[in-house]
Amino acid sequence: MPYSSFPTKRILTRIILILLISMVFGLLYNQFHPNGLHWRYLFNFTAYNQDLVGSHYVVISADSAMVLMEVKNLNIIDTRLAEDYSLDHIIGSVHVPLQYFLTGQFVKKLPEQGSSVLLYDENGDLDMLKFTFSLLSEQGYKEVYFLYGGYFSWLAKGFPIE
Amino acid sequence: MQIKSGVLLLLSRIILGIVFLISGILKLIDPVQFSEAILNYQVVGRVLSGWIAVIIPTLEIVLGLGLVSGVWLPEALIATAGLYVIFDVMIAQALLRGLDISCGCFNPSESGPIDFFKIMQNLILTGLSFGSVFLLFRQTDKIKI
Amino acid sequence: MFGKYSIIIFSILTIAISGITQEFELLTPHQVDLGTVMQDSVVEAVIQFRNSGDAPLKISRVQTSCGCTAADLQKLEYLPGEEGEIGVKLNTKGFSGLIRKYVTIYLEDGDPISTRVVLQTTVKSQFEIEPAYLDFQSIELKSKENGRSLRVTNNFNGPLVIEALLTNIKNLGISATQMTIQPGATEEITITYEPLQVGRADGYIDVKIKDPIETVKRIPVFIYVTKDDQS
Repeated sequence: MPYSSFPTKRILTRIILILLISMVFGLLYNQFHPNGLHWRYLFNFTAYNQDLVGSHYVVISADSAMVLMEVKNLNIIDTRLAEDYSLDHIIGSVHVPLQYFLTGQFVKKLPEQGSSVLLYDENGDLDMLKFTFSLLSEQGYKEVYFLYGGYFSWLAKGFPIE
Repeated sequence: MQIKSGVLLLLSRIILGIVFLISGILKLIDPVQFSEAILNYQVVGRVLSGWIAVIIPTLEIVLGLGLVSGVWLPEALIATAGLYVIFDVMIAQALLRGLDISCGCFNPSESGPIDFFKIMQNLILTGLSFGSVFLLFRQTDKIKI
Repeated sequence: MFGKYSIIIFSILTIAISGITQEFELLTPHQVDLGTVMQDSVVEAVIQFRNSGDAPLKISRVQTSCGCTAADLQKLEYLPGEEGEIGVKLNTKGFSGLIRKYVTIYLEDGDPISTRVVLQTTVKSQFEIEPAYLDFQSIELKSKENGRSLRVTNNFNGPLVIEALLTNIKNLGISATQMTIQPGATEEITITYEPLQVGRADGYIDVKIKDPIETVKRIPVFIYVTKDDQS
């Protein structure tokens, strides 16, 4: 294929087109795949910048969580994988895996509205906790606590598990 | 001479194409796992890892198809070479930083660390893609950049 | 003549073979506690198993969590009665506190098709900073004097030199920015915050350590300012 001059523009355009096509197909595929990355994960993720009026999260340590559990009627949510939850989990916690939040199924497994919620994952990944929180606050949960250091910090303290 | 380089080009683009098609399909099996593999390299954050995990598998398949079929070949080859350069840089920085992670290059569910074999594999494919680009444009009469 | 019977023999054999499945028996417990180790060390563990079935056992792959634990498998096929080992190396670089790594062994076919082993270890750091994060989450806009303490303990056997204490939070006061802590001693740094506006103002403090190792420890700071008369 002889070229009289190097068709940089055409090549660049086509490469960009290839990238766009891949992106569109990739997004569509992920949307329908059961273990695909939900669009909320990709777009909404860092959307929690400003304070959602009326609800905010509080990061607490394992010690504070232990105290809080006794003072309040706290609903504890475990967002880890099913196999991790079945191995052991914080006593009295409900299993709502992160996948459920990504796909919207979490609504079925939530405790009564308006109650206070303690969220925890394996090691306290704040990004994912904030994402989960943004979905919870949309559902009307005003009091949400994050367990700092996640399940590992609870284990390290030797607090009750089952 | 002309025929020889033509055959060489055909051979390399088919190999590259098939590699991309297989690796793209394997990555599509579990997108969440692939994005975790990208996070392991500790270069980008979660959102960007997610986007990369969305684009790369389909990109590999699209490029693979282009390479095998010959459609938009110059673009496919250039993009392939570019992609491999990015992969090499990622692996290099992971090694330099002493990150003990699994490659996730071909099959994201494999757990072996980035060993000599995988590095060689990637370098050979990089070389093949650049060689193909060179062969392709050598077939032109004039090249003005 | 033999042809008639061969079909029957073949069917019986097929049924008999399908009744034999591989059996993977894990000899090490499902949950292994590897004890307490020092940071940046590599912990080694061995997972032992046996083929207690009648057919050869074929392992299809060994998967480790997060890709940062190396699993060393000797070979993939094990004869009936044969025992095997998987060497696992856990790199604790960058981790502190309690960590768990999961090793999942997948068979090509058989029962059970996959087995998971949990490796647990506590990583002890050679210096400790308490608390793990600074909590300014219930302060009012009006309040001026909000103080918290950061305590740094030196578990090394030489002096710990802190080169700098940097933060990305406006209006966060740090009482000391450089110090040397003797072995075994604890120093206290006072952190104060003056609220600027309502809402979240999370950030971090980076403790830059020079001796005996060069590292930076990031302490998250969680700040939430409420309007006055609210909590």
